[in-house]
Amino acid sequence: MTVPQSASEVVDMLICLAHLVEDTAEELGALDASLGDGDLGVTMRKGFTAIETKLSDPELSVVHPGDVLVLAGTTMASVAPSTLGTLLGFGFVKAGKKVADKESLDGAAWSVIWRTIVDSIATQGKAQRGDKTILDALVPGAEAFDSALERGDSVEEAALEAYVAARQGFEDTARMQARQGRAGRYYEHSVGYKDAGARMGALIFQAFSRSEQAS
Amino acid sequence: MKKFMNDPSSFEADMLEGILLAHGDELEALDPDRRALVRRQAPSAGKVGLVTGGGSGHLPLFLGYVGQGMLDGVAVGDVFASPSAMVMLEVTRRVNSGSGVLYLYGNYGGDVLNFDMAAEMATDEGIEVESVVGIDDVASAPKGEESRRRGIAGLFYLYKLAGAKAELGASLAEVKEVAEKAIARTRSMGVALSPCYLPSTGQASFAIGPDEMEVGMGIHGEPGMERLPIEQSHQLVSRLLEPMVQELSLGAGDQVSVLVNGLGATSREELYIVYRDVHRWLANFGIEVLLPYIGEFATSLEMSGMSVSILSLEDELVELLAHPCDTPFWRQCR
Repeated sequence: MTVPQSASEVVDMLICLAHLVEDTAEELGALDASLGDGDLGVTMRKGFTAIETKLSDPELSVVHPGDVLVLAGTTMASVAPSTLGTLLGFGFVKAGKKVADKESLDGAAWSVIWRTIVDSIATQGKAQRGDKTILDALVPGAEAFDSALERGDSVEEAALEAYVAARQGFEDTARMQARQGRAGRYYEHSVGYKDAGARMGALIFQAFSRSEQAS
Repeated sequence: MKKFMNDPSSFEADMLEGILLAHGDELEALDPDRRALVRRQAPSAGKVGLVTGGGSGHLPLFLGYVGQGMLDGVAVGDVFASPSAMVMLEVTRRVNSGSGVLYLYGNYGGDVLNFDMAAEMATDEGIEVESVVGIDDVASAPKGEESRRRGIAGLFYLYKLAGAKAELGASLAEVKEVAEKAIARTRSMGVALSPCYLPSTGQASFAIGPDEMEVGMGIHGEPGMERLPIEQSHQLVSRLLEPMVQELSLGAGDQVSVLVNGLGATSREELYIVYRDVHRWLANFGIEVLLPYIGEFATSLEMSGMSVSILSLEDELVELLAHPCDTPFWRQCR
């Protein structure tokens, strides 16, 4: 599988992500219920269903891949204004704007996209890696992607490495103590549970790498 | 749970339809879901646009104060949930007359996040946006950590004072200065006696014994400072007033406004008993009440309980507070 380059390939990637979220919604909800209010599966499904509907519209004519990300982000932020929905939505919007002039996305452009999403979520959400949030999947994913490209790996290989790292990042959240959001109230009681936001982060890189393997 | 409603999933939609049917001469919806509401005549030429927003379940907060002399627009969320930044942006665009927009809202994580996002997008579009966040609830964080405090019924003073200043033609910087003054001089504290029930789930927001009260409980049922056996009104009032009066450094000769707010299911009779005790307690220290407000200003569905807010007055604030206003939920004549 190839990493998305054109606008229509980014649409395909996001629809693939919507399907992954649909298949994982119950797991997301169960993970969130251990520490939060359990609505993460519902809100992510709501957001990505709306994104799929919008992007599947035959009338849709988007030339630039960045515009697809902006459209997906504003849709998510509109229909799922939960903390994660808003942070993720605006991460997509800002990333899309950063690559607005590109007609095709190469490895360097994707590197900018992931860094922008990570920075946006960290700044607006006032969180960092280790706080048991989506960043614990997105940061290792983005870093693994960059190091693989630096080593001279192909974009496809780098995307797969990013997914593996993001997935491991999600697994590692079991050892972490929550400091953000509702889960932050549980402090040390949060150790032992994996984070639902980080699961969501791993799904994003799974869709990006077009990884067929079950997760 | 017993509620007057239709399908629980249309609780917000049905409520908003009713609001627009009743107050459509004053309010206009910008979207089919009626989540973006503005004054009909918005934008008013040359006037700073005042925008608020927050979850449903708190009427008259937040949409009830959109009107002449108070706010220009509001973003409406689901019960106890933040509205989206996109709705806030839509309201912002409409109320901007070119003189800038000021966001005034309560300090809750989701609302802060979405208003910050909306401000960033509006700024990108060339709209000048400033924000002042309500943090009047003394019980929600200790002194020294004021920025972590929640905004409750004291938001009324923020809207009223900034609203009057904007109506008088002040600039964005001047309105913001008054809003910040309102924040610095307002303190609130509440007590809950029974929970509210979320329409979507039917679940009580918290459990409490028949003879208990929770001092400092938030307007979404956030845990308060302590749970105690219920006391007589005058005892409870002194428990609430002491920390507020101390933080505001009030003493003999000072003038204040007092707002006694019902949380949804508490009788006006009880609120006036509480007001009596507040008035007497303050008078005992030589503190004069100029403009009292007693009623429902910030509720929590059908929660029973009340909050007391104190605004430490000075000359300009007295004038702004007395300035006329006309909104669906609050009218004040000169």
